[in-house]
Amino acid sequence: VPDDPPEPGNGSPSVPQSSTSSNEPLPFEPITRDEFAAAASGFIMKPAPGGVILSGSCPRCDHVMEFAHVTEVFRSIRLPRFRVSGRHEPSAAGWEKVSMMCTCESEHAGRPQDEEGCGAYWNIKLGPAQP
Amino acid sequence: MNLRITPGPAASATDRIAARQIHRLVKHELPQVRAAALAWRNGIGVLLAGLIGFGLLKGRTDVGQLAAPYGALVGVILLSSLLAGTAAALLLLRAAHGYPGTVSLQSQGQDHDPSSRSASDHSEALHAGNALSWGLGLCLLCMALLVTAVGMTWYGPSKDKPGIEVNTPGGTRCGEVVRLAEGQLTLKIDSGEITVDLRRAEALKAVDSCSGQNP
Repeated sequence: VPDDPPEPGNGSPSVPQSSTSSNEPLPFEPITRDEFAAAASGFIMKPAPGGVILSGSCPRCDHVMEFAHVTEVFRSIRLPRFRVSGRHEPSAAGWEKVSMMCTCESEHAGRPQDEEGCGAYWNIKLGPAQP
Repeated sequence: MNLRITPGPAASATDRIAARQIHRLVKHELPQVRAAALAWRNGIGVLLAGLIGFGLLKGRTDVGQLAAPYGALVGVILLSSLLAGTAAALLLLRAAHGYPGTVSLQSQGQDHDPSSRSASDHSEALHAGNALSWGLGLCLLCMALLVTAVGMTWYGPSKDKPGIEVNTPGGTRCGEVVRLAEGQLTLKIDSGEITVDLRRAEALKAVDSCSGQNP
């Protein structure tokens, strides 16, 4: 099956793609491959309160997606505090594993109602640019 | 600190579940904080209505009858309560509906860059959650101050000292007792001292205050 390269400027390097046809999106399938993690290395990172937003093209379906890696989210009220924002820093060890999944909003045949994306998932490691 | 991404270890089904849970938490946090703020706003409104009902129980209602410095103190407490209540209402509204105003489309992710919208929603959710927490804290402070002010007004010391009210054929006299000698009661009133012949008194009773009772 021919693979289309990702669009330029979307943050993902060229990775093998799989599709049922050139116009039809891939069916939903929970799947992981080593190439997915390698492709996600090119994701763009943008700062968010308590973390970063990773965005780029899904290594499997090539649709634009984003994944928030943050240290805190709102769940319930808590005691007032003076600061809510902050840039996420890696742990003292320097690198941390981040589990990611495709979160594209495109249609994928066979996708259960409570699922999102095309089903692809992978792990990356996030760490300082300079050792 | 600049960050960089490198490929991680092989993913398992557990990693997929973890990723899905985190994504859902982030995706739903803004609607969740809005819904929570609406619920808390309604709850606080009911609580305040109950507090107003509590005020129907009558006690002293005139702050001017309080002895110094309680009158001024009640005024300061009431003002603080008003400020806390106003700030709380604004914070709860901000948490429930956000700030009214325009936003830049570019900053909201409409420039083909979805990550900025996600970051914006996450930031807004955290700020709204913070506003909700502060708003609730200030609401409770407002209520506590209001109850303190009402209680102090009811039970605070009176400006006027208790006195004796004497009814005589010539009229009613009321004042603080200065002395009693040979059937003559000397009372201290606003304009000085008066003497009342108790042998002619028709009635005698103790009163909390003599304000405005002397002719």
